[in-house]
Amino acid sequence: MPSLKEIRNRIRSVQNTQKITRAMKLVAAAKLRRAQDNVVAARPYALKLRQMMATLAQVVDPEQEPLFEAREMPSKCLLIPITSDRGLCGGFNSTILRQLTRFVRENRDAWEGIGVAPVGRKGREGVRRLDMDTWLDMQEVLPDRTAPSVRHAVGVLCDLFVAGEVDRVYLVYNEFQSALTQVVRTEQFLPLSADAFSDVELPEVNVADMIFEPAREELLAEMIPRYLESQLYRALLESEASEMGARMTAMDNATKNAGDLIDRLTLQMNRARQAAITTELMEITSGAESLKG
Amino acid sequence: MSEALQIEVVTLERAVYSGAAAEIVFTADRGELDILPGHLALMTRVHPGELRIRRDGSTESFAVGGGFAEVLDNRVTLLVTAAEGVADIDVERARRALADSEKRLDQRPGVDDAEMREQAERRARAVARLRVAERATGSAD
Repeated sequence: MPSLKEIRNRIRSVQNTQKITRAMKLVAAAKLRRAQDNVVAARPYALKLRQMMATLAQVVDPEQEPLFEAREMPSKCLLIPITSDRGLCGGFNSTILRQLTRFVRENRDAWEGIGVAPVGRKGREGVRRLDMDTWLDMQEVLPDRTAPSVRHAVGVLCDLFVAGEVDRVYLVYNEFQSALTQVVRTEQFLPLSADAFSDVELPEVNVADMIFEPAREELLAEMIPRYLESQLYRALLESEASEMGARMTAMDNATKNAGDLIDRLTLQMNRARQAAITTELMEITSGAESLKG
Repeated sequence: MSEALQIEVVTLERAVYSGAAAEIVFTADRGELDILPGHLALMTRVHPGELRIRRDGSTESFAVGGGFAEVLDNRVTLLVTAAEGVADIDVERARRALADSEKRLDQRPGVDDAEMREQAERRARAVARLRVAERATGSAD
């Protein structure tokens, strides 16, 4: 049985930890609110643009638009997992890494090679542990999560695809649902072939004789980068809001657990103190008895 | 059939307008484009300018930034960088933006690079804001 002093020290240490987790929870809650506003605001535009691209993908001739070309013998597949730089956010990063492992296990035979381009420090460390091939240093391509960086990254990825260095690109990210739940999405980023839009509800209209103004090529040249930017940017925002939600929940649990632990230790401490008092009293009374004798 | 169009106007920041309308007018590649029910399937670029949505005889005006529009089966979707209703327009700011962008454009005439295109877009948006604001005060008189 630990001594009274040991238990007291332990309680103090847990209390300090609890202070930190509580502070982290509050910070995450404040950041979550902002991140959530951002992602909710960005969604309608990104989803509508995705719908437009889905319509376009039906009528575009892949021979003329290289980014729409679904290559027949897919050989090189690039996964872009989006993770956080910092830990202490529950299962946020590990679910992404688990999805990577699963993807590789299920698709190993379909591809000549599967590579990754992790975004975020936790992802970089994770893929090193999993022994996956990193094909692209995203720290260089996407140094921060701002609009100009996103534009640059989209350019780099498109160049790789057109040059035939990669034949398909997927984004793997946490989609924000609420502070308590995130859902891992694996979304085809390139090519923009019709099968990339299987989740989009298409209008029941014949789009074959659609009018394009300006001419289709010119319109596409402007629309494709905008679309890819908005998809990547949205994925980053979804991931950020999810991270804050996951951290808030994790830190809330940690604070509660610390509270439980303190209660248990306090009980133990009181018992130890009571035991010490009882022993002392017994000693005194037995001493008095022996004097009387 | 008077309000057979389903309109959606979405900007980078939010969904601005969603509802039925009889007619929608915006600036496309070859000038103002007027969409009425029964229009053919169309996908087009949207230029910064005025957007008018008519329903039940009343017309709502917005100053919009550049973007894209899609017309499919009487559903019109506009994706633009920004859209401001009459109440959101700061006339003073629009005037300043107009003067400033014109000054910058005059400094390097004939140059066509990213910055000049941005200034041209800025000017077009300022002009659109002023026109929308003017129309609103004009009709109030």
